[in-house]
Amino acid sequence: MGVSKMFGDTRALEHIDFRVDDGEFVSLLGASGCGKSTLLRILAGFERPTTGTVQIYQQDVTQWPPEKRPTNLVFQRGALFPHMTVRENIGYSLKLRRWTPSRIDARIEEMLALVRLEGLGDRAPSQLSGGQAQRVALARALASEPRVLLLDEPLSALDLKLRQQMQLELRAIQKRLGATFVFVTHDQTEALVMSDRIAIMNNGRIVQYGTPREIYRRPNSVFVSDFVGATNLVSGVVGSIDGGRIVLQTASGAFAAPKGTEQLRKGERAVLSLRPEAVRLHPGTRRGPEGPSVSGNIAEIIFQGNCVRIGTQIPPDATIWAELRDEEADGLTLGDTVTLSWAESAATVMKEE
Amino acid sequence: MVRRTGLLPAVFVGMVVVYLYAPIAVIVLFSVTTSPRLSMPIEGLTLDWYANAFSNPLMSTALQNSLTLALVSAIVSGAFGATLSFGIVALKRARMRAALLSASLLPAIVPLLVIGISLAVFFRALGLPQGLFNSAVGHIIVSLPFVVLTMNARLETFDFSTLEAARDLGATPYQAFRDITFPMIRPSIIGAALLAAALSLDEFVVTWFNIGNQQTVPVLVWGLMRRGVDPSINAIATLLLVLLVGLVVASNLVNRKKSSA
Repeated sequence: MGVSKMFGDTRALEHIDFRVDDGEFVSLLGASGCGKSTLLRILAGFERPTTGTVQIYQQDVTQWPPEKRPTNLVFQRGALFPHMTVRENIGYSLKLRRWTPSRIDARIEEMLALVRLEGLGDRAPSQLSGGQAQRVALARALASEPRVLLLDEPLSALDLKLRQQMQLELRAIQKRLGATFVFVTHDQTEALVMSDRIAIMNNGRIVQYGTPREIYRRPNSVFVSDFVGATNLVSGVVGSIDGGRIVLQTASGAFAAPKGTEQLRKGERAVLSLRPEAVRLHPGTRRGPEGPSVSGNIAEIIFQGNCVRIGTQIPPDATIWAELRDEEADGLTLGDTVTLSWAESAATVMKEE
Repeated sequence: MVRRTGLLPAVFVGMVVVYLYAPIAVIVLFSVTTSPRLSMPIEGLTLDWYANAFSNPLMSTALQNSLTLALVSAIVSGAFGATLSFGIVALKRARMRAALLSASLLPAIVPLLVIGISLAVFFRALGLPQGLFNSAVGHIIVSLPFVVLTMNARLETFDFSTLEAARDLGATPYQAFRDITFPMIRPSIIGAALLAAALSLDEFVVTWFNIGNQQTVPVLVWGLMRRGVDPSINAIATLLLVLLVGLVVASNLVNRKKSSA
């Protein structure tokens, strides 16, 4: 596929230019008000871009109304037709396309099976649970085999357990159909779990576009590293750049890290981002095996069930969080002197914002 | 919650109910008693007054006029009011929406006398003779605010994303209206139209200024009353009452059925 899109609306969206490949699952991830829903509505045809074009499979659809576009949208709250049964909801787009009744029926059964709602076809939408309603919405949107399926936070109204289950199901359905999905969400875990690629949006711009791994491991900005997952940020000045390696001089010491995609010059202010789960903790001031390390005193211990978060105060006044398994934290108490260490490649240095 | 019932509140409520309904009860009662005057004790029961009322040739014409006006009001007010409120709710700017809604509700506050007289003057300026048409215009003006109000209450909870969903699934704007919007708001339109019919049936002031020498049921009753109280008036009033209560109850039922679906 080739949704390429250049586009400059000063308010909602600014110069967004991105493409989605055929059969890809792409998430637009951002906080509310970042423009992700506006972008999705432009793809669906409910909004017109002020400038720029939308292309779907090499065809310029910028001026096409929603009913002409090869896209279907799954709405945040389903938007099922309350006066129609589940079956009629799913078959609506096929009826509009003048399919024969027998073909429509066959397709409805196929769709009901796909979303595992066999036997609920004659229910009214009001008789469905939230999860069932969203499945019907999905089946309805997929019935006419759109080339691109757009999803506007379809799982946000569901509770956590159901949401996690639906994430996996949605992913499986997408793989099975080989369809192209563009999924809007504000939930970073959801985006990481489901997507082939994630576009992180902030203030109407796409700030990073890459695979979940790239985005998590190599965030290209402080915003991205902070938005996706938890992170420790330590600011300082670029001391030396040596091939693929940068040394950052901070108030708490000098730390080396691999060079990121961003251009950094010596003497420039920069920030080191370090994921809490990459931090190891050793009692006393004994250094770790190799790699960067720093000593400090434990200031906070937070039990989270599956892990323990430990905040270590390092001189002069920074706190580095480490995430340990419960047993690893046994014997650690507040005030203990500990040494933190991490693999050099686990950290990222980026421009200060 | 514990509710205390005392004698004093019960008496008070009883008095309010009597105040509200006693006059109506009296009329209904004396429409079926044999005595030609409103007097106790009741000597016997009869339906003669109903027969008497219908034997008056003026009565059948008046009833026909009233029903025609009610039907026209129901259809025109229903269609026009529904379109109007749909347009208002769909407006993007909140201030514009509030302003237009208030403007369309205004005829409910303007005294009927003012509406009646200004319409009469207006039609005279146009050179249109008084008659049923002028009255129909008046009835539509009077009932429109109530239709808009009823429709607005329904549309506040209307999920406009279902319309976008329909468009998205391939429906043209017309198909989306035909398949989604109209079936969803139809019960409310019918309810509002029944209300418009009820308002039209007992409209007197505006009718009086615009109908000329024709008569509707309320205008006829008013005329008969000038020649003294005749029990057949009670019969007509009772019929009108049954018709109106029926329409209003039907209007509510139709609306409620929708909200529970």
